[in-house]
Amino acid sequence: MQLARALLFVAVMTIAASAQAPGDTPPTPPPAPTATGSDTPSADDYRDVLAGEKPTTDPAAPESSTTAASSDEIPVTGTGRFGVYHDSDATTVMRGLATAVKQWDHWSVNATAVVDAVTSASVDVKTSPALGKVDVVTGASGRSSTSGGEMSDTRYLGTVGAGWNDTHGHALNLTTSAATERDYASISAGLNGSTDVADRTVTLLGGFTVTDNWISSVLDSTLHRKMYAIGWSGGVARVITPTDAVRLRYDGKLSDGYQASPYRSVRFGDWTTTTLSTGQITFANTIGSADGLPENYPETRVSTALTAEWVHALALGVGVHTSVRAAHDSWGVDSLTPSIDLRIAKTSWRMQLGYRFYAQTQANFFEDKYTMDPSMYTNYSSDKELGREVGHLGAFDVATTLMDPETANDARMMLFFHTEVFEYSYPGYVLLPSRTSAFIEAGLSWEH
Amino acid sequence: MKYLWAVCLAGCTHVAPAQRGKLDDPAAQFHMDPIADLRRESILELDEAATFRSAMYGVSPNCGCK
Repeated sequence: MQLARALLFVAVMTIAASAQAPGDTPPTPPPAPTATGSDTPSADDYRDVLAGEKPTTDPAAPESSTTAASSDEIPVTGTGRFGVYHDSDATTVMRGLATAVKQWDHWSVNATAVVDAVTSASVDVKTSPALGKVDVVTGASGRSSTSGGEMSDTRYLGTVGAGWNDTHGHALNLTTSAATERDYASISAGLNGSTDVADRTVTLLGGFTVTDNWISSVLDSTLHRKMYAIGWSGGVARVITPTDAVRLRYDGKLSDGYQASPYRSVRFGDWTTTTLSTGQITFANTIGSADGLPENYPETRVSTALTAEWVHALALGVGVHTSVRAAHDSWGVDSLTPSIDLRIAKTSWRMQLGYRFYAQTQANFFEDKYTMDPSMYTNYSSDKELGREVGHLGAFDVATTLMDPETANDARMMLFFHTEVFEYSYPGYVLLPSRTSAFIEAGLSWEH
Repeated sequence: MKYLWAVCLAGCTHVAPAQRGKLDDPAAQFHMDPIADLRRESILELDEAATFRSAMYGVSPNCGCK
């Protein structure tokens, strides 16, 4: 039912967007470069190579004798995508996404809709005192569970935005979003922009977001909590050689309010576990109740990260992108994330192959086992993602042109395929030492 | 913040606009597929405690997934 719902949603949105020749949705589309062949640069030669945007034309394509589309004739671009995520911790997510962008002169508007249908019988669900029990009627699934803990839910997310770009190195974007599911609601707004300086060899970037969240529980109608978050970002990018560009970015986030899970509990003592035939995981030899206590997190968390990136053009249509990110937060979680990807972009097809490594330390209040009495701890959690973690990610993308534009007013239609494999280990976490995940996605995009 | 400027400006030569053709290539962008990158990041935010979306890429709505 959820699969049908997600597929129907993506199909409807894709058909609606394709009726106006949609395409992809870069945050701020750069101006289309003109091949002047002159040593005297024109305004169009100041390409926004540092704004992280994909150019709107393929530089490997031959010059067209047709005139460029006027602003009123720029087609609507967009994309429709459908993907499936599955992991070894018995969690499956079907994701549908559709976007559409319309551009006029210096302005653009965009809209995105996402549907995520989740089904999970993970360790978190099976150890949950409420979700893990048999014959529990869950509001999220609307049915009784007879298999010892399985939850399902559907999340709907909508985003609208507007952008301004003067094609002379200044851009500004405003976005708002709203998301809802059975036990969570979120609204968010953000402003980000960029400006070129120093003869457009340096780009300054920045952004700010605010998010408000409402948290409830499908099993406890009296639980109503809030969480606020603000995010900020600043960065600088520069072309350093004809084939190299670098970017340095600082990100920050402040979260204030309820950040735990209303379904997870923490057991105390040197406990042991038993998995019942129904799938539920029960605890023995605990200090206090075998059901444990609800998680208790600090109310405030400040997170910061520094990311350095480098892109190098190996040849026309071939590039390599490397990055390293270091993060720290007030809960004591430190992480390091290096990554590298190889890209090939030809006239009728594109490919990307990437690898990413991740390592994090545990939160200062996290323990694999809280062996003392609960009164000895101020904060406690059973979230494995707050413990030590090491991750490897491999990704592969390929896209091919299905339909070339016939005139300057048409969009190019592309078919793409995307896959990722994640491997995480959680040293010291008894209930789940490791987890393997895969995400596969396919879709169509209309680009101009 | 001044160190960011120093890193990016020190020892760099000026690259004329007409010389940046190779960097205008999709393969030489910081994000060749921004939508795929953001969607991957939304998964990573759930799997990794230290990963969160940069405000530079717009809104970052939360979910009850965790």
